[in-house]
Amino acid sequence: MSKIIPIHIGETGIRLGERFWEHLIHLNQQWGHDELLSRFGSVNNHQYFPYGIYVDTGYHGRWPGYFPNEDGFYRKSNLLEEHAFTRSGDTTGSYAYGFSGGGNLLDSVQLLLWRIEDEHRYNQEIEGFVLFMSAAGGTGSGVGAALLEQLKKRYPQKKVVSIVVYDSATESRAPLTYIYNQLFLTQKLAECSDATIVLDNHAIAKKAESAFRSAVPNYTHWNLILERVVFRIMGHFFSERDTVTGFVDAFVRKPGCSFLTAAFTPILGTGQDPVYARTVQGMVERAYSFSDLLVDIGRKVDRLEDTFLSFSQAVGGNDSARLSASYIMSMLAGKMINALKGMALGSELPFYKRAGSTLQELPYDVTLLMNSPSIFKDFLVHRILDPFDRLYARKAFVHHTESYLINEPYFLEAREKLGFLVQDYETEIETVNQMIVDFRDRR
Amino acid sequence: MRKILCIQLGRTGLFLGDSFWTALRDDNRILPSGKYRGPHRSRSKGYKNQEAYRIAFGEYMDKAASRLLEVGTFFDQTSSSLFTPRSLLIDTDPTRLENAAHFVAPPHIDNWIIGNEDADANWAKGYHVRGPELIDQIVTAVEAQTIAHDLDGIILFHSLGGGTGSGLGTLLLERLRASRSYFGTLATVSVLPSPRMQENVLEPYNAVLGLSKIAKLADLCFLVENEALRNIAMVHLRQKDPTYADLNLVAGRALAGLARLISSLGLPRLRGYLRPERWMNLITVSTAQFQPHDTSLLPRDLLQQVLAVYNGLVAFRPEDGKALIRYLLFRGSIDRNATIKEIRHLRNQLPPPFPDWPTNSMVPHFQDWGLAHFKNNLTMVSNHTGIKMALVRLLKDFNQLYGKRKFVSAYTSHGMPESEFMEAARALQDLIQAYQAFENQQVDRDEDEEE
Repeated sequence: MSKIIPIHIGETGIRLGERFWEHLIHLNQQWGHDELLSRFGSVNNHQYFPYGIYVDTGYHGRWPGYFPNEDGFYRKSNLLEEHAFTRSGDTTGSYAYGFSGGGNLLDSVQLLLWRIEDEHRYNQEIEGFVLFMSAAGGTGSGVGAALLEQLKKRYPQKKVVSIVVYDSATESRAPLTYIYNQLFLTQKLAECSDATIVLDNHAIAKKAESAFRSAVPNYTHWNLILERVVFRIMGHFFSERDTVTGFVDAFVRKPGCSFLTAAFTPILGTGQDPVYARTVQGMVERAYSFSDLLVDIGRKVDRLEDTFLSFSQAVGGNDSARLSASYIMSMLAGKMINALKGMALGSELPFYKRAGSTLQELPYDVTLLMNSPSIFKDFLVHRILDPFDRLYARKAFVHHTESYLINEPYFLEAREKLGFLVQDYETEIETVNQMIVDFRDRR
Repeated sequence: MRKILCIQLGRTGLFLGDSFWTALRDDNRILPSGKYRGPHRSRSKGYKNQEAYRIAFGEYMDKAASRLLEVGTFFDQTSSSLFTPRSLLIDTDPTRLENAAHFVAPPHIDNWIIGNEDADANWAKGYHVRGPELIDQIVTAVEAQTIAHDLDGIILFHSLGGGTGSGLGTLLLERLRASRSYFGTLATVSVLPSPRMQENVLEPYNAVLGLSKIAKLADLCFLVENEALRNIAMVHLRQKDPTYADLNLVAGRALAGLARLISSLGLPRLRGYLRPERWMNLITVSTAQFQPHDTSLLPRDLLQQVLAVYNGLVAFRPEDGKALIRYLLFRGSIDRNATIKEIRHLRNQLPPPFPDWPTNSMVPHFQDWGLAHFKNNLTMVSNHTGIKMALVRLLKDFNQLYGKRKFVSAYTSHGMPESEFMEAARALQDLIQAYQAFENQQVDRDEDEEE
């Protein structure tokens, strides 16, 4: 039996991780102990131990504080102390500091990984890693990039999936410097991560504003949305037959072009009930209108213009909802899928259907996860490269990183590589278009 | 980790620092005796069971612990758990430190460093004569603090008009930069002299000589202009002839807001966020209210006040330059929704600094605790290129004096070469030109797109 190890990096990663584990425990109480625990955690004396690794520079009281135990009471975390790594001092919001200063942190992470490997060599082997991080902060981007490099170097056979939260100028607490951080991290992700799921705070803040009817770019609200999405994405690894390798093979066609985008419906506040949220059919229709896409690319998604290489749809709800969902999936979603460009290839492109149990306070929910070259290309150009070019044209904030040997060539190299990535994506779009034309001709 | 050492240097440094510590101590709920009162604690409303009480108590203790971390940024905890300011009091004049015994928030007596004789409000005397007598003692004390506390940064309170603050301050920064044991951030709170409140004629000389070097040595210079403080005291405190005590009160409250921002973000992080270019280290601080208010103001009023001309600690008009980054720290009871809406509204009204600058330059922060004397308050820390106007005014005063070579012999007699005057003036002139060049910089975006 194989095991997946989640690694939570930086403040955002740890916050997401805390909520993910909370959901998992909630789910586990319904399902019994065996399946999920063997995959993500361990049981000792009927106590649940999350098996995640928590990495952060600087202790500011933000380790996951409380987990609910079986009795429903909140008690101090039973996170294994030895799985939490910290180092005195902060990354001060700088990629350079996190990338070059996270060294001794990574050694201890590596020691733990070896120990876990030893422990599970005979009955469970590590199959892959799931990384949670944010692209804006210094710890998430810097230590995250260094860890990605190390994982790729020391475990070339094992797959790495990253879940990355991007930030924007209007919502970020780190004005302007986040632009460099996310550029470097994106470049490292393209190199070292086998699949990357892109979530965008800018889009989420917009959604939260309309859903919660309050103009608060508040991390509490965003996390409420993020944690649900993350839980559904992690749902791809819940059962034993869904391996990380299988996930990567299904979604990624070409090694560099490994960025996936997600959409989640409904984004609801408390006590709200829009018309579409009352039925599963309404939800599926809403989801496939792509108005709840969780990345902001500066335009609306057009189903006939944008290409989709692979697609997964997860419907959550109670038992009857899941039954009707399977019907909907076969009838309605099939129609929707066929209307997508690229998915017209039908059986040649992978399409995942699955159902999960109810999330808290949501009767039904639909999550779409897709590899769409045209959407991510626009995200890359519009949100990462364009701000970088503007800022770097004035050489603003460049001097901070010089003492960490991250100087002009480093910047230019990262920019150049991402320029090549854009070209890769363009060729990818062209290939898919060509494939569609060929497919139609053959018919 | 985020521990800051303050150094109060010279007369202005001592008294400004004292009003700063008083304001900060009140904000952090530390009593004059040094006892920490902890966060507000809600009355027990009859908990359902013991478990519920334990949960509530645990949350309270967590809150208290996290606030204690922030309090520890600026305050030392003694073995009897009293909180004293982590600060060095330094003056060349022994008589003045006797006054410091009457300070409201004095640090421990070990942190006082006293010279033998005054620097006579002369930069050259402070730098060349009185400074070397004390400097080794000071650097040793700073190194001891660094080892004891794992310091994040140092903030130096001093004036640029006097001899000790300007001359010895320059020497101290030079030595700390060259020191092998201290690598942290160096920030200064520098008080610029003003002609209307002049005490001696040498102030423009001292200020130009000091600022030209300090602007290169320090990571962040939070400038305070006496002229602006005077305006604030006249407008807000309604005093016809404000004294230095009033000015210190005004500046101390504004700087306490800055300190809260530093303790929540960390000084190195703030340095990283505030400076687009390495040389661009002159920072302005503005506050919304100076007169204690019983009513809580609306976010719109707070923002209007803080953007007004008369509320900055350096006086310049908004059209003098461009606001690159603005940090807004809202403290006290405030409606976050209304604030965010108001800021978005402002973002649309105020033009961005450059058409292609990738952000809107306004970053809000909220702290619902840690504010004494006010219901709510707003502190703005901004990097605004209009700050060059303060340098222009200073150079004008300097040129009036130096045009006729007045009092030059007072400096050369202490071993300072005369060429340093021109070098200092030229350095400031270059800084002003650099600001202008940055404002007028045109960027060709076409080249980038071709690449």
